[in-house]
Amino acid sequence: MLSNVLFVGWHLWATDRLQALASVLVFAAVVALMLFFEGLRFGLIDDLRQFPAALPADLVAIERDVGQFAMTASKLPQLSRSQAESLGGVLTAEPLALAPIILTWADRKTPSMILGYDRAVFPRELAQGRRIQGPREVVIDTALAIRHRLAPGDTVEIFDTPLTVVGISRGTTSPFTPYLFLTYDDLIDIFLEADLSIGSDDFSFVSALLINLEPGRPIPALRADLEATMPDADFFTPAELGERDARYGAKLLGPVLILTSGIAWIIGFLVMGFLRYSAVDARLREYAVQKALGADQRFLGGVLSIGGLLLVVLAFPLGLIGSMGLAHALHAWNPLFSAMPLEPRVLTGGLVATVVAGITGSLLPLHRLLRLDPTLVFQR
Amino acid sequence: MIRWALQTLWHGRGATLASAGGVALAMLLVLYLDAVFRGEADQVVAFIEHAPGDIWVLQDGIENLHMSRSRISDQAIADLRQALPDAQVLPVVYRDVLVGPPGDQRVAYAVGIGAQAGVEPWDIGHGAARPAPGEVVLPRPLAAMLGLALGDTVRIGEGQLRIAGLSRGTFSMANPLIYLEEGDARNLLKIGDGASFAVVTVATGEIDAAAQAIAAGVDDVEIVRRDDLIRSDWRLALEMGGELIRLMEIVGFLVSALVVCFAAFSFVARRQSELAVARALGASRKDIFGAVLVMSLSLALTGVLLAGLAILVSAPLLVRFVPQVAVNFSLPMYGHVGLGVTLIALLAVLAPARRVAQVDPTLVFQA
Repeated sequence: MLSNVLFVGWHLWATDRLQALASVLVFAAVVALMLFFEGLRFGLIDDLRQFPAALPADLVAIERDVGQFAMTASKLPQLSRSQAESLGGVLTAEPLALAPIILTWADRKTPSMILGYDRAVFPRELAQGRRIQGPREVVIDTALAIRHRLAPGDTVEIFDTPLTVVGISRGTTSPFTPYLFLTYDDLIDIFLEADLSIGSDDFSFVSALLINLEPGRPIPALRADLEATMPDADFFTPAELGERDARYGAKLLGPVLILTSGIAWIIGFLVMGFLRYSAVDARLREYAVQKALGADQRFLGGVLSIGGLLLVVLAFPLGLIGSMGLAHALHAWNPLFSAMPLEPRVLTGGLVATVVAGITGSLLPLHRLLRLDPTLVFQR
Repeated sequence: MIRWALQTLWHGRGATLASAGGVALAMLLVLYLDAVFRGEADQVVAFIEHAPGDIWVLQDGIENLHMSRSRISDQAIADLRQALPDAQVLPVVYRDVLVGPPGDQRVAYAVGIGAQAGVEPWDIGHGAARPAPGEVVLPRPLAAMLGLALGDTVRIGEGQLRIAGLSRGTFSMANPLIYLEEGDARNLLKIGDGASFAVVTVATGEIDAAAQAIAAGVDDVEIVRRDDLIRSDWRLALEMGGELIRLMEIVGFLVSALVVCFAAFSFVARRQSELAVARALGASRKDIFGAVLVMSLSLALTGVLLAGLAILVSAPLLVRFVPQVAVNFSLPMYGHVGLGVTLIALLAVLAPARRVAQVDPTLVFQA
């Protein structure tokens, strides 16, 4: 019985090879679209998580109630470093200054985040060049380097101050705040020379503190001590902070990403279902021949479903390859954005939607097929 | 033959509607993505478009309002008034601020409204347009997202203000606008003196001369014409996220074109044998092409119509149920996409029509 269903299902589906090939290609294109859009949603949020989650510290202090590292400005009191370091169990408290700028270079504008640091090792990973060793040097994120056509040895101006690019960093891309790294001294000099208002009361040169604990000190206990000592600050592990940035990004971008991705899912699902329905409906007579020859409902349902599944089996891998191609194209076109079509939740959702659309579209005409008078098949 | 084509479409109503539905859905994908792109990008420059002024005077080196913090001094404002004694100079307090309770904060742009008119919300849904001290006007979707209504209290930065008005057309994902009394804005945004920027209105035809006078008489400021500022913010918005939505739209269009192509092609290709019989019975090539084009045109137009109906039904639902996304369906875009879809559908059926037209009529009766 099963082999008959398979044989007849395959035979009927593949009779018109051109039609079958075209339908595989269209299904694959729709699958690629769905996986790409959904992968983009996951990619954007993941990029927001990466940098804060990889900060080199046991705990990160940020302004109380701000709750995010990169997406909103945090201001800590200038004395917060000494407050933290005075606490037993704290090995170092490294201040970071975060200053948003719009990098305008090579006829492009990119909102970016300058990270000024003192002794910490930034960035963690270099794609090219080296870390900062002298004054007026800058390390920039890979995406920024590509967008603004910058390489080690080039000069870039920030607030009219020329800086030499000495390194290109990796793992520092964020869709809305790709990072540039400066020493603390250079950051202060540049902003003071530019006479920017950030020296006023709405800006602090301590945005965050990277707190490293003495070996063996339990984080929860020391976190409680720090919270008691520094009431103006909240303390998070880098992983928690990464998760908070990702959550905030999801909240901020979620509606638009869910809407666009949701539209792609719904329309993709319906398109696949409609096209499969239309293909089966147009060849109802050929399926009806089987009924005239004595096939029952189960057999016919199996035959129709096999056609749908064949389509899915051939189209889904192609669609996956297509979505990976689109993800590569997106990253090449604008390296600030990345899509993750291979993320398991994206793949599972895509596969389920494709299978359900293929089978539902195949089975919808079954009711009509069952009502068809077998003798009509042989008329005309 | 044309009558036959129409009868065929009617006879296979299920397949016709399914194919037209495919066309409509493909078209809807492009139109929805375009509406999202248009809604967000338009909204980024909505404040500048609704504000008065020909020249915007910002902090030196700042050429954008969006994602920037500009600050000009009292001295710069005084110099500006001195350089242009006949012009209207409106200093504006404007800065990004966190809105909402800790843990559920959103970034918004706060506008301080002083005694001078010019930068109030342009469309008020409920309540007052000019907030009194201790009050704020929020975009309606932002209030809804925070679960707040008129009269409730909302946390703005480090202060608590009463919601006195709910505005319309002032919300987008990237650029929600809230309005505060100027004193509150200065206090909460920590802008004690000066302003964020000044908007200068001059007499018609005097913009160039005014810009030159500002450049000569005011130090440390950036002089940006209104159109240039709109262009600059629009471009920044595009680079920030608009480009991404635009790319999604392009990908959507390509996939949609493929779907339309396939729907029209397969609909006609499945009727090749009937067309071949018609050819054998004496139908000319012109008749065959005519019938095929009528079928394809009918499918495409039905799809375009269905897409239009779907937008009419879904647009108010989107506004109601997804207020946090600014969507702006465009009639010209509907026309362009509809035309594109129709052309693609017509081109897609030329190959099967040509195949049928070239068939030797006698072959139909063989085998």
